[in-house]
Amino acid sequence: MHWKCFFLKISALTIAAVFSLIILSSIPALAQDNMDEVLSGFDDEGQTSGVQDTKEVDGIREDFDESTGQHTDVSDDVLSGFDEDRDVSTVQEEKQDRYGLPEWCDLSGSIALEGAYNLISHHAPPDEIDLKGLSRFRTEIDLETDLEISRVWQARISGKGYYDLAYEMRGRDNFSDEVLDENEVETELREIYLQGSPSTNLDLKVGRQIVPWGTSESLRVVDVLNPLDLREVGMVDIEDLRLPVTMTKLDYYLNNRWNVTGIAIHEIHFNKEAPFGSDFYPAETSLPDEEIPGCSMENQELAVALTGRLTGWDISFHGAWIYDDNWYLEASESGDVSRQHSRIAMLGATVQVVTGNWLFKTETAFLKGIQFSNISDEEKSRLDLLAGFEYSGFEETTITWELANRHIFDYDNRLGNPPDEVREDEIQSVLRITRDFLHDTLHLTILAPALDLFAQDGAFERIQMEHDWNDNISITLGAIFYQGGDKSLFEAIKDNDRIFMEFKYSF
Amino acid sequence: MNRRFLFRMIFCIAIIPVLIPSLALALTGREIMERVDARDDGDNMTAEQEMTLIDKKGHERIRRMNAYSKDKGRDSLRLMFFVSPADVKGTGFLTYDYYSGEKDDDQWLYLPELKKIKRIATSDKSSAFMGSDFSYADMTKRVLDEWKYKILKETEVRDKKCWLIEALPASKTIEDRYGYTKSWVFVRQDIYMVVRAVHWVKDGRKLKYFDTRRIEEIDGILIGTELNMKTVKNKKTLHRTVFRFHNVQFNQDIGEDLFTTRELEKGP
Repeated sequence: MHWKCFFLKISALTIAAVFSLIILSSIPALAQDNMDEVLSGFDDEGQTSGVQDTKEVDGIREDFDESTGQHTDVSDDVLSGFDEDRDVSTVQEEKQDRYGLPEWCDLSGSIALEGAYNLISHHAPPDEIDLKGLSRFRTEIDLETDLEISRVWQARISGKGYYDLAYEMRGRDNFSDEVLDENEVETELREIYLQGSPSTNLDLKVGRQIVPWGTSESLRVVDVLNPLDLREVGMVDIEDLRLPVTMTKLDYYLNNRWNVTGIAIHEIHFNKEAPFGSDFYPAETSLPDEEIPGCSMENQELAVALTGRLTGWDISFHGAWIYDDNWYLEASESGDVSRQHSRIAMLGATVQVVTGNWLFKTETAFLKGIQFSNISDEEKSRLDLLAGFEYSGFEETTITWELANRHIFDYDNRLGNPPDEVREDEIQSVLRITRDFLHDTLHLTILAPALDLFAQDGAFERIQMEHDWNDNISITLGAIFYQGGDKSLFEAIKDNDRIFMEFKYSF
Repeated sequence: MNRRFLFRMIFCIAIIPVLIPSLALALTGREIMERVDARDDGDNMTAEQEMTLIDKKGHERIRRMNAYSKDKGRDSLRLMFFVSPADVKGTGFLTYDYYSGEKDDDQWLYLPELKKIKRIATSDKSSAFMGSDFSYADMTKRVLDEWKYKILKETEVRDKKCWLIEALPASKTIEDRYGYTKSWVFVRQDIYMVVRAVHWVKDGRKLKYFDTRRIEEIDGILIGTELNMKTVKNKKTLHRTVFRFHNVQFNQDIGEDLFTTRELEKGP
């Protein structure tokens, strides 16, 4: 049943995408060869035409900073024809006026109103209400402050918080405590770091930060340092997907092309997952407690990388000794079951090559020491391979496709059973299409990840249009469709299809 | 020496003063564009840039950038950061612009939302630069050999004598890369600078009008500090971009180490 549904949705999305591309593609040009007619298109000073020239000319003149002695307006002698008025505020004036803050302090952020509506009737444990209907009505605020301490030292403090009124509107008693704790209100410090250059070739960055490794847009192979927010699969904006952790990062630059990175992660923090009672939670019972290693010296995560940015291609090598962000269940001698995270070693590499409008990328990683719930006393090794491309040859359009295979060595058939549910070879693919319209004021994004080559294990498709109303306000509308499959997670969320919107004011 | 030879000699000597100005006027389109190409357009530049995007209803959006550029032989290194508006603030472009059309430029983008440096494939230079009427091709120097030039006429732009030169792409590949089937450029005769141009856009029956509305001499270098580009279809302006330069400085002490992904990640 889900196959039919899946193909219908895929077909609809494909037709919509192709139709959009055809409609908005241009038609071959016809020459306008009449010289006088063509040349009449210029606006001399003082003239007006279709666009508000008068306003534009008035608004353009004043910005020229001629305060420095080096700037010599030659319009009086050689170029007298270009002498014009000046009457608009300058960039410098605006900077100084910004919220009354000193020049070394820069505050920015956004306030957003987000909504989502579930399209299909469905229930989630503890099965109290039908979850069709309003699932999000959230006000969210993001704040970011950049501080310029000196010429070589800077700091950033950022945080976000939200309150979701949807739970109040639908009756808080209808939701589990876990859902309310996790989804109703959140205040979180995001990045808090100090960065600078202690010497010519050395950069230091200390504090909570995000370090994305790898070339992939959507699949993780060598990108193992930051945990993810997986509470609502597919619904989390990509900028909020990675969670910052406290680390010390040192970059040593061998030259302008190559650098070595050393990282020590001090804060052990794992993926955020859907709470019990959420319609993204796949089981009927709540999970046992999670054991999170403390911030001791022996629990530090360590990572190194060598990165080269070369002519026409980039290459990087990675090594990490970290905790697996995914948990496994382990029973203690007393019989208590808890969620544990195995200590794993990773060695990996990435290469990306540009040719014409194509960007080809590949990643590989060998991971050692992975543990699973069904055979928690054994450690397994895995080889992850990723290949993909990005094509930007169509006007204002980028098409990205990535395919990854994760192969478990010395595979044990028990791993195919819940809660592990992993195959010997796990295939994932992601198609991503982005296109900008109307001079970058309208942005289309289509994202279609799938588990297994033909989405046999599950998939979802997200389509969204974002319109920049002006420089500060954007409006986003979108829809997301889930398909179930052999994986219990996707089977559990197959009825979570929803439409969503966001109204955002950035400052 | 016979009288006939003597007469020819006298004629030749007498005609030289007449011939010299005629020779100056007899520059070909290609030769004029070579002089445009050879004009000193400065090096080691820092500038604040402001791009005003104006739609057909007159609504304006303003993007402000800090820009740095350096020549490396015939190639150019460029680094640019958006400082406003908020939704693009911190976004950075690093470009190694290779003069040879045969070699793809190296370009990296820093996306502050993702905290990630991303390499971009940019063989097609005809796409719009950040939603403006300028294409990526418009932002770079044209490769002389990729175009065929012909003088159409002499004319005046704002009381200054100009050559009107037609530029045709030398091949279909070049036409596709730049996105123009033809250009007419106005070259000021006194300073060998392109002050106006009309571009025939390959797709969409559109014309683009480029106009240098202000020229300044900074550190001895002539530079257009207010550039207009408008897109016209059926004589109606669809969109317009005003590109202004502020605080332009040449010959700054900026090394190649500024034009690295290290600086791109650090931001403006």
